[in-house]
Amino acid sequence: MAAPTEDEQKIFGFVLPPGVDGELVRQSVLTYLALAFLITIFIFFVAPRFADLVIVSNRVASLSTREDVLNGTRVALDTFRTSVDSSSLDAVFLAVPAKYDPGLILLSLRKLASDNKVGLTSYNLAGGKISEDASVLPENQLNRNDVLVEISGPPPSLINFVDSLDKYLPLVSVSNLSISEVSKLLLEGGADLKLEMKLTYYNMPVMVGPDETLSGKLLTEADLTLTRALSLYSRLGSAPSPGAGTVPQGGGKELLFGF
Amino acid sequence: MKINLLKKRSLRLKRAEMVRRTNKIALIAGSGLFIFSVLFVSGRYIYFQLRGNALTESIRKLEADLAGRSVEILEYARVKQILGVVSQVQSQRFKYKDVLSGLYGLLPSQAGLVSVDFAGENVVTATIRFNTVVGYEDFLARLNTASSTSGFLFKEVAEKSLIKDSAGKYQLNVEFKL
Repeated sequence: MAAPTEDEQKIFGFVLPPGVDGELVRQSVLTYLALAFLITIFIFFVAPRFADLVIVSNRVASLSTREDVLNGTRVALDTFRTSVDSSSLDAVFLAVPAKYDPGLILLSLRKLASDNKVGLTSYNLAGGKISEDASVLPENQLNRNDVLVEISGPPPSLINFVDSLDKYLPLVSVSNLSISEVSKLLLEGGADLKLEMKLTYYNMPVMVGPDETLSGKLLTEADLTLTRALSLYSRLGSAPSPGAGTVPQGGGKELLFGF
Repeated sequence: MKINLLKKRSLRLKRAEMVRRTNKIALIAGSGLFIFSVLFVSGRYIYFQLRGNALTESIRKLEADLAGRSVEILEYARVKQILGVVSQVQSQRFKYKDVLSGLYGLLPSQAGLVSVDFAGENVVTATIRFNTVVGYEDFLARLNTASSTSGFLFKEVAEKSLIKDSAGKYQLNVEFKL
């Protein structure tokens, strides 16, 4: 093999044809080799880190969310006592008691009847568990306890009785209401009317295991307003409700329900 | 024929210069991008690690704080649950007093309600007694007047029957749709 002459140039062991700028070829080759090296490093070492970066980023986002939840829980607990006093708290717990208490229901009905000057003619409580092992109670299950009630009295008092149920504790909802004369004979003598209705009381067992946080359970302004409103509701042991015993303003007539 | 050798040489030099410049730009841009991506990944990685450590520490402290307040959390959660129930029940309450007052407002002075039944869904059935037929006509006139007002409570009022009893009084059975 012949040795290269003075005009011939050799790059990386290759002999270049005459007239080719050897320096330029060398520079170009080195440039693209360097770029190829960088791309290789990027593909094998840098790009895979982007996936790791996403994982770490998600982990931080998750931790940040958890911190927000815990912070929110702490702030909510701190402000809870200042925004809800103990009487409001008692009213809330009385609205939906943990246990079914037929005694409380009956005493409440009697007091309400007395406040509104109507007679509690009869009542019929549907059965329910009045004693149960707390450890086996299903959590957060709202139980409905129906009471069929029959009251008698002057029409305005009956209406007041129904109306005052809406502002009385424990919480109750009224359904299947009907009003009728006691009897024709009694009606002629100016007797009372009879009101039948179904009352539904509620109870909800206490949770066995408390939640760690209050995520999704923070009290809203509407909740706080409702709490304050509940504290003003009448209940057993409280003074008669302001509206009790007042005649509703129906049509301003003197004759009502045949009287 | 003359050949301009200088022009050809000049063109070659220009092209070589362009290739050199292209090589330089490619190398600088490629290196720049590479260095930027390495710094970006490293920087973000270090930031997330530091932030993660800080959050973990903060969470550990908060959890320790809240662990001693489990009773308060239980109480708070229960209040929230009860208020949810109360809101739901109150929003579904039927306004019996409004309906009774609405019915009462339709009665003329010679009439009286004998019975009211709320058993149907959005339907109230009432029986009204009139001493004379004039009372019945008065009731119809009041109904017509009231139904033309904007605050009228009932969507539809249907007369089911009108009976004159042995005592000479009239009993009207009427259905009010809410």
